[in-house]
Amino acid sequence: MFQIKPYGPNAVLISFPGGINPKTHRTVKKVYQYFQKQATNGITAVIPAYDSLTVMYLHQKVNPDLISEMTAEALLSNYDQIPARILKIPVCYADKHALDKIDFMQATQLNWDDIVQLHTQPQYLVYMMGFVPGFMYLGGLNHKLKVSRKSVPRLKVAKGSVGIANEQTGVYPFEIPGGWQIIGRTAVDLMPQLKGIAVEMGDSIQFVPVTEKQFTKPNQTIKIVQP
Amino acid sequence: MSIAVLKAPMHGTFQDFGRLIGVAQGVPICGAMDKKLAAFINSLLGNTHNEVVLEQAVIGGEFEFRVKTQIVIGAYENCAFLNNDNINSCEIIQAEKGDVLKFKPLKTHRFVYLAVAGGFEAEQFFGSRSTYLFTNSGGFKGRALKRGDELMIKSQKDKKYHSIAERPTLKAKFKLHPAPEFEHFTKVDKAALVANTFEIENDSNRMGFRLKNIELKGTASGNIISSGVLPGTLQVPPSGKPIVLMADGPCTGGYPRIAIIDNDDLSAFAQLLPNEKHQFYWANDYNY
Repeated sequence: MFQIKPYGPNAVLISFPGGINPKTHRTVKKVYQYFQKQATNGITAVIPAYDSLTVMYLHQKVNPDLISEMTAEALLSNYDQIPARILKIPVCYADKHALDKIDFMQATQLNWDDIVQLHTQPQYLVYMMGFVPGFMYLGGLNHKLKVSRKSVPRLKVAKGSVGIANEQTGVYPFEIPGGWQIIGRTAVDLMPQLKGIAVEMGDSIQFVPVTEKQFTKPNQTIKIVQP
Repeated sequence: MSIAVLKAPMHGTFQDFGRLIGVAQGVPICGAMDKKLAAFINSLLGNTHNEVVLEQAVIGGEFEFRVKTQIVIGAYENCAFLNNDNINSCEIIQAEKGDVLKFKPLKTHRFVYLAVAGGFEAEQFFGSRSTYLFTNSGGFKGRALKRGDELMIKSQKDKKYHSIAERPTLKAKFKLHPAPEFEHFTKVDKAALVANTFEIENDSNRMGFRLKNIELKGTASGNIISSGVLPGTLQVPPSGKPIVLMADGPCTGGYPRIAIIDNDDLSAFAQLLPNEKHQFYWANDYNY
């Protein structure tokens, strides 16, 4: 059902079978939400991922056997009864921001309106966050939009750029080097923050197409749709 | 109540013990690379152990005191001068208004610290005042110090008793524990990690230290499904040359993890320089 693997004297990895899929994700989310509330019991931090959780703890209070018991308890909890919220992120797909538009249309053999339609249709699942602060690992990209990453990565990709690489789509939360095919840009700040709205694993993301004029409006935020 | 930067240090950043509350959103832990040394010099001044200190890599800066204060230089050698007079590291030094503090390049280790009584004023990001350069967050305006910066000092009005932290030492041997993919590596790889000495590559930094002279065969698949990683982890990319993740390293990674350096040795590991030979050993005579 799950495996506990050693990770030094102050941590373990809890891993679940099944690989990358929504069912495993829901199990990870459930156990994550349980461990988040165990700070007083010696759990110092938890990193949720696709099919695993890295759990850090105080070795004076916690050991791998106890983590195993806690995980079993978490699996019996009803934390997964909480439905996911939907976060709407405005994206401008105009030429100015769709840096790889021509290449992308050629690779997919689709016209631009269809590409925008296919990209804004799904509710993407935030499987996990990581790589850099605020970076979302999203699942649910339409297979027609599957295009491999650029052969030569860009040294700088602007903050808010929306891209696609193979089965993945996502947003660059700040300016970094990167090789994804850029098809649009959002003005919403996706840098993690303690106050205000921050994306979390388990959220659903929907991209909403906006015009260039709407893109330039100041103080844009993510819109939350509670289920 | 300030100290002026006359000459910028190399990679001079404010650091405390770092942050744990952002790891699920990809915000690295950060914090002083040598936390034991930072704790020790803070404790000498009566600061809390995780008070903000200035971390400098190899070459310290030049500073002028605009206020009378007490300082401690955190280093394993004497490398600083007050008004051109040699001063001892890990001792309380009285600095007067107008005094000038200088450093010479370190010879035996990588990071030198400056602590002041009361600590430095610094910006908070995810519960810590540590600088994270990648997103320009926390510390001194989210960046490394520059000439002309004014470093504000907090007043130490309610000085409390804090226990003196253990005095740290440099090390040449580092204890390893198994990490999640340990079982996926061959016996030969597990033995190779501790059989030979290793060196640190020149391009090592706060994000990671690359190891030289160790080449592993790696696991059968060569990759893992992205998963949470911790500072001190030895990741093995397809090249077979392990990378040790450090304080500013990412929170998740996709390379197999063979081992993690014991937390008790990680501060000393962070102090390693290139072109020196060091060795790992497995904890508890681990039977590989």
